[in-house]
Amino acid sequence: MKRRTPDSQATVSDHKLKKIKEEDEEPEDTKSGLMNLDENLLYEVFKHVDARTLARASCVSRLWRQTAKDERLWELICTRHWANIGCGTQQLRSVVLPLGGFRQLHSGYIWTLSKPQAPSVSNWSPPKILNSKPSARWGKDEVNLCLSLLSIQFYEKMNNRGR
Amino acid sequence: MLRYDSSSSSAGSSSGSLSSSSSSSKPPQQDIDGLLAGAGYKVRSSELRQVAQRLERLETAMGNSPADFSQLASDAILYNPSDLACWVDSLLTEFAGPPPTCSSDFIVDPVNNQTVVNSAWTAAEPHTPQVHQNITYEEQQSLDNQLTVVTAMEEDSGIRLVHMLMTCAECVQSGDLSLATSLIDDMQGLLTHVNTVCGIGKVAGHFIDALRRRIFQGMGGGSVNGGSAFENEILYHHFYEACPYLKFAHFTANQAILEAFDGHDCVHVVDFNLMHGLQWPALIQALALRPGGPPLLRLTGIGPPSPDGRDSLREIGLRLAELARSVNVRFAFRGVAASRLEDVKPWMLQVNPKEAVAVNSIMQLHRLLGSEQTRNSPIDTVLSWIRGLNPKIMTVVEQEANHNQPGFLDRFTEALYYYSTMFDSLEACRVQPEKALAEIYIQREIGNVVSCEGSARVERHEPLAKWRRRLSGAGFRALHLGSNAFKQASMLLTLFSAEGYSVEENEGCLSLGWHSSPLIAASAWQAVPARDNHMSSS
Repeated sequence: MKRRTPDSQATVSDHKLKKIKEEDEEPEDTKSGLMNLDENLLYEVFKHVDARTLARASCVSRLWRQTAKDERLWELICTRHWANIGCGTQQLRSVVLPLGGFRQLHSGYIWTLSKPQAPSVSNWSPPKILNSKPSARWGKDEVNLCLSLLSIQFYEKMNNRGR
Repeated sequence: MLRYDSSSSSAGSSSGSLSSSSSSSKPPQQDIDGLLAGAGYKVRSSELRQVAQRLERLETAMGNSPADFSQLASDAILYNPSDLACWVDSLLTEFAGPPPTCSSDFIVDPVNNQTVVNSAWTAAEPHTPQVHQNITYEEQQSLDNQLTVVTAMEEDSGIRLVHMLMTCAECVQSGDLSLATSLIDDMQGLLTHVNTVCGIGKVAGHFIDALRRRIFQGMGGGSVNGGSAFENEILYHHFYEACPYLKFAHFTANQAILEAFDGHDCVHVVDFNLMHGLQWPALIQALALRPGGPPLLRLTGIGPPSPDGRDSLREIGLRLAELARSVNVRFAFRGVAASRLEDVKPWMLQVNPKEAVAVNSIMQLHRLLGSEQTRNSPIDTVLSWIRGLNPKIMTVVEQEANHNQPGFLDRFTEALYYYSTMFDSLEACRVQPEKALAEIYIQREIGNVVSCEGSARVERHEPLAKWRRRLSGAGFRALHLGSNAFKQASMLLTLFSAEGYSVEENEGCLSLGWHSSPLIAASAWQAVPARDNHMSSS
């Protein structure tokens, strides 16, 4: 039976996969169990994957794309490795969502900042790539910088619309 | 002496091609050229076979005539090893006569071993050989080799340009305008031998223009900075996008302001030059995320009056208000239109005694410096009313340069060094039209420093050390910019910029520079409490 699975780097545990297999109503069908997932279950699975997987998952089908775009998922991904930046979740949401959202925050800035950089800067070692094994914790400074850049981008877009 | 590092700019500009070629297993032709250029060699891969053949000939020739080695040492300027093809050719002519396809320009008279080649370069005409046999000069071949000649000429011409610029500036200072004028014509001619797309040729061109303007149009020079406010804003915006200097200024100042506003519920920022207000979205966002919620933020933006009934200050204020509203920050904006900073009076700012005030000056204070050091010069007046506001913090960002010396030649020399470093750093920018407009922005600054005098010369940059003395003398005390600011600046560089930029910390102040030459410095100040009985609300 054809089974299409997300990227191998996914943290989808075997336990989850087994559970899905059990819930598969039509094992003899050519559609794989994962493709039969409804939105809610898909969402639950996506809550556990890393950024790269989630981004790739959104290329699979319309349903997957719709589900993967959910801001709550990207909020999870963004905040998963953040040190406490001092403000509450609600407060963070009320700032990030109007300024473009967590998905944009990640793709625009967090992703770039977390890639391994050339050693041109002294006194700061960049955190490792955000992958399924959370080894690096992001400090306040990295987070604040990304948020600032998001706000500037929002402002510049606003200016361009207004002209 | 001007230190011009041409290899750094070529290395910087080819780093893009290096990274792209590493992804393919077998680099195509152009990428090899790029790799060579990145290593500092001005040679095309198509020429390499010829170079190899000549190296073999050179080896045998050197083996045959060991006595001639000492003569190589005296003519260092002949040999530009990065231009492999010409270097090998010129060495070969020392030993074995010219290779059949070599241009006459490289013939050295081995009898008296003069630097005959030098004069051939400056005259740019072929020189008939003295001694050698078996030489054929085909027009096409010499034309071919003219191309390789030019690259070797460039570096030499660049150095000559610098010398001529200095001489011209000296003439201007001493009043010898006729010699200065002829030098300008010579330099214009020399420019054709130099690559004016990047490096020394580009910045030299701007300095030549500025000198010409100074000589011929007198020193009113109002046309230099006569661009409309709208134009200036556009240029400023592109300068912001093309290189990290302004971003560094904004982020560093914001960090200091944020820390100073900690614990205050009513805060007021006075911006000495609002422009497009690009500094403030980040502060609004940071205040919105403050633990415990944002304060009431008032922003007073100072800027030049806009013509045609447009109120550009108000437009910017409205946009910032919209952003603040989106993130639930109570926000009030006030615009103060003034063509000069010294025309602003403190009552216009309507500072409330209960609020915490931050004064933000990004490259504005130097405009208040006059050439005469009088008692109540504009800078003293403004600094004293700032002090009267009792701000929690005053953030000052200034160009780290000494462009306000009384002697023209000193100023010119400093400016040449400063702006060529800045243009070097701009080479790393890849986005157009940002880069081109940023260059025009810098060009206007150069024009003002070099060709204007008196009240027209507003770009009176002074180094941090001088500002420290001046501000301490005016009753301010330096605040240390914390390690957070340093870290943020470093991160900013990794996100936005090419290698080559460097952040330095210097007694609590941060500076951003290119290859360890600081170009812009940020500092933070607080008013020392006055001894008279004005109640300061702390």
